[in-house]
Amino acid sequence: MNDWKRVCVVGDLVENELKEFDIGGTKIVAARSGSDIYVYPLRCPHMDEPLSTGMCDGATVTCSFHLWQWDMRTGESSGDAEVDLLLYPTKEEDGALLVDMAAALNYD
Amino acid sequence: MRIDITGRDGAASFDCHGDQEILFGGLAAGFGLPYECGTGTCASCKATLEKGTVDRGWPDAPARRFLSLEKNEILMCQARPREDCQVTIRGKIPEPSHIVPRSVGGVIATVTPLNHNVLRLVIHSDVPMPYDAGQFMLVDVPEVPGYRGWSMAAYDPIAETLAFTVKMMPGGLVSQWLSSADRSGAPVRLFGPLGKASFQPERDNADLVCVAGGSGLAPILSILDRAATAGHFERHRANVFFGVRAFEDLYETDRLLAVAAAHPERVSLNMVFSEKRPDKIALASLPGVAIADGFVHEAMGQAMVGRFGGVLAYLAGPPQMVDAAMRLLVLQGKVPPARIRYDKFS
Repeated sequence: MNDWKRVCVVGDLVENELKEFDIGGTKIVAARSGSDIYVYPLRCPHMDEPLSTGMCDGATVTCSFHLWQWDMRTGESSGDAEVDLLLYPTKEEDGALLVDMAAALNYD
Repeated sequence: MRIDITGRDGAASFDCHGDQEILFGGLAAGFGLPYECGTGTCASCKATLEKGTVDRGWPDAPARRFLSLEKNEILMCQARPREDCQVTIRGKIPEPSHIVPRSVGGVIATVTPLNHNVLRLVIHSDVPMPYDAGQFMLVDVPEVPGYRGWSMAAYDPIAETLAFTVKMMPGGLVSQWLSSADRSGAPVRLFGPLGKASFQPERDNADLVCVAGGSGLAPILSILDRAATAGHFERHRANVFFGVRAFEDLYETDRLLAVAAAHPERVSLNMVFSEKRPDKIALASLPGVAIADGFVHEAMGQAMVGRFGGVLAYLAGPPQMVDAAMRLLVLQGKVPPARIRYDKFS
C-alpha cells in the first residue's frame, strides 16, 4: 500500500543541492540530476550526519563528515562507503514531487 | 577492565584501566579504532555502549551534541570504563596504524614566539616517539586539565624532540599558561602519534597539494620536510597554499622558502591574504612566491584548474577552511575522497 506524500514543487529543486524536508516527522533529503529527482533518508548511514550538509554534482552524493560517496541514481556505494544509500520511491504529479512514505527507510 | 568493541566487520578486545579512555586503551593495544581529534570535539569516535558503565569524561565536550542518549552513545576519546564494557561502532574496525600510539612523559624544552599569535613549543619526550609526517600528538600540560592535539611541525626520525605550533587563543588556558611564565623543564604527558592525514613517501607516490590556513601550517611543514629528505621531489611536485589574514600572520616563512628554493622546478609556494595584501617591502621578502588575495581554497581552486588528476591533497587549518577546500576538491577537482587527507578538530 503506497502512502504518497507531497514534498515540494519539482522546480524548487536545483542541481548540485541537497535539500532537507520533514514529511510528517520523517526527515528526507532530495536532490536533482538533470530531469530526475532522487530522495534519500536525511541521515548518513555511517555516523548520522545530515546529508543536507553534504555535496552532490549530478552524479555522486558525498557526505561531508567522512567523505563517503554514493551513486546518486542507484545509491550504490563507492570508495570507502560501507553501506549503500536507500532511496525512496518518487513520482511527479502536476509539477509536485511526491514520495512514497509507506515504509520508513532506516539503516539499522 | 575488559573492553569488547564490535564493528561492522570485526571486533577488538583489550584491557583498559579505569583512568584511561577507551579510545586510547584500544589504540595503545594495537587496534584500529575510528577517531579524528581525540579531544572530544569531532564525534568521529562516537559509539554505542551496549553493556557496562563508563565515566563519560569532559562534561562540556563539544561533540556531546552529536550523541544520542536514547542509544546510549559515548565518545570513546572521553569515556573511561568503570567495569567490563561492550561497545559497538557504526562502521568497520579500521586498519591499525603501523606506529602504535602510546602514553609517555616528557618535559618542555622551549616556548618561542613565531609571530604575534603563534608560539613554537618544543618538548623532549622521555623516549623516542616515532611518527609519520602530518601526524599529531596529544599533550597534557600541568595546571590545565585535558589533552590538546598539536601536529608536529617538522619531521625528525629520531623523534626525541617534538616541535609544535601553538596558536594563542583569546582566553585559551594552555596558550596563556605557556606564555605567562618560563615553562622550560615543566613535565608533560604525551599520547600519540595520532592522525590519518599522514604522508609516507614509500606509500604516497604522488604529486602533493598542501593547503594550510592560519595556525595549520605545522603538519604541512612536517610533510614537506619528509618529502624533501626522502627525495620525493625528484619525481613529484608539491603545490603549497598558505592562507593568512595579513603579512604579520605569516610564520615559518623561511622554512617554506628554503624548500621551494631547493626544488624550484617542483615546489610552488602560494601565499593568500584574506584581509590585507602585503606592501611592496613585505612582498620583497617573499621571492618566488605566488601572491593572491582572498580565501586560500579559492586560490587553490584557480591555480590547480586542470591539474587535479592523481594528486594527493593535505588540508590543515580552521574548520571552515578545511571544509571549503574539501568541497572544492570533491566537486571541482573530482579528487577521490581517499586522496583528500585531513584530521578534523571540530
